[in-house]
Amino acid sequence: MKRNLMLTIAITALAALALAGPKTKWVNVHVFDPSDQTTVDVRLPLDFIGAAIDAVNTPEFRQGKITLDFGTHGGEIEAEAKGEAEPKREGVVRVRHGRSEVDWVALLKQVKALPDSEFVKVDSPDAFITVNKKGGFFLVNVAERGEGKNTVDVKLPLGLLDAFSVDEKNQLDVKAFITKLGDLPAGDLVTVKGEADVRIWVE
Amino acid sequence: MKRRGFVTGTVLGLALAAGFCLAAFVSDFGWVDVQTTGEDAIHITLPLPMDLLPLACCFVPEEAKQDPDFQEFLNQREGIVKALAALKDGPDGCLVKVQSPEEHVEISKIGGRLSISVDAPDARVRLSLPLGPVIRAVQVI
Repeated sequence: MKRNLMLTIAITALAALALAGPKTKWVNVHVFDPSDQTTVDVRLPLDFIGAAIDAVNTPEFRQGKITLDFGTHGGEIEAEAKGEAEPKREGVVRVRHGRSEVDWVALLKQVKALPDSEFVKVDSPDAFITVNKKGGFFLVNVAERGEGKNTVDVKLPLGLLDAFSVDEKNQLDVKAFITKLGDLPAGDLVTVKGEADVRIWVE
Repeated sequence: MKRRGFVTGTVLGLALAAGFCLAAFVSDFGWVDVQTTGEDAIHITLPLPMDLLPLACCFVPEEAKQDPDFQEFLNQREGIVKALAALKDGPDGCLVKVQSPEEHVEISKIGGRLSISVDAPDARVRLSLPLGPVIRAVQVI
């Protein structure tokens, strides 16, 4: 009798869990400013953020897309590309970025296809910067060496790169990013420490 | 004796029905509670009959409707309604919390209501709004 009761309870619990459906994901932002001892916590459901993004209708940001301004003057990024899997290709890459000179989507897709490696390392008196791909994540680490000594850690799941799209009008699809976050595992996205502590994560 | 029981039952039934109606009516009320400190300290608690809000919105003067800010609001209305609906249908929880040594602000969504609480040295404010009537009001303006 007791065994039957336990079995019934177990089956009911399992059925309840199965019917519960997928849990809503939340985007969390935590900011602590030590200068005035103020803490700000924002915790919003992903569905609401998606709807709120749709609600924005300005010339720069509409239909979930933000218009990027790369500037008309262009510029130069100089970095050292160091692929562990292909050490012979080590060298300096010069990229001229401007309105249409860099195909960011193709570039990020290439990054996703590459084996785990360190792509960029900048060691200067101002900061130490690394850009890596490791364990299914795209990692950017910045350690300032100036007065502030801020550190910034960005940890994006590679799946998020699939949602990166810039159309011919230089519009970045922000809504696609947010939607994609719902499909990816929970975890930290951005952590900043220094003059102010910032943490952005999904749970 | 039997008749007395019938009357008592009817009265009880009516009282219950009235209670349910009142509860349903009050559940769509918004509440604002403001308490200040100091010499001119006041404490006001106002019930806001939110079901009348859509009706009240019908009487927005035409002049006010020509205001650029109002026009901008109308342009964004569809999106605002969608965002509010998503908030209403979404899970409950604390959405925003700001804590400083002197002030505490909290915005929460609890059971279809948006609650805002502010605790400052000179005032304490509590606001609770049912999202359903707010959405209906935004739709009819």
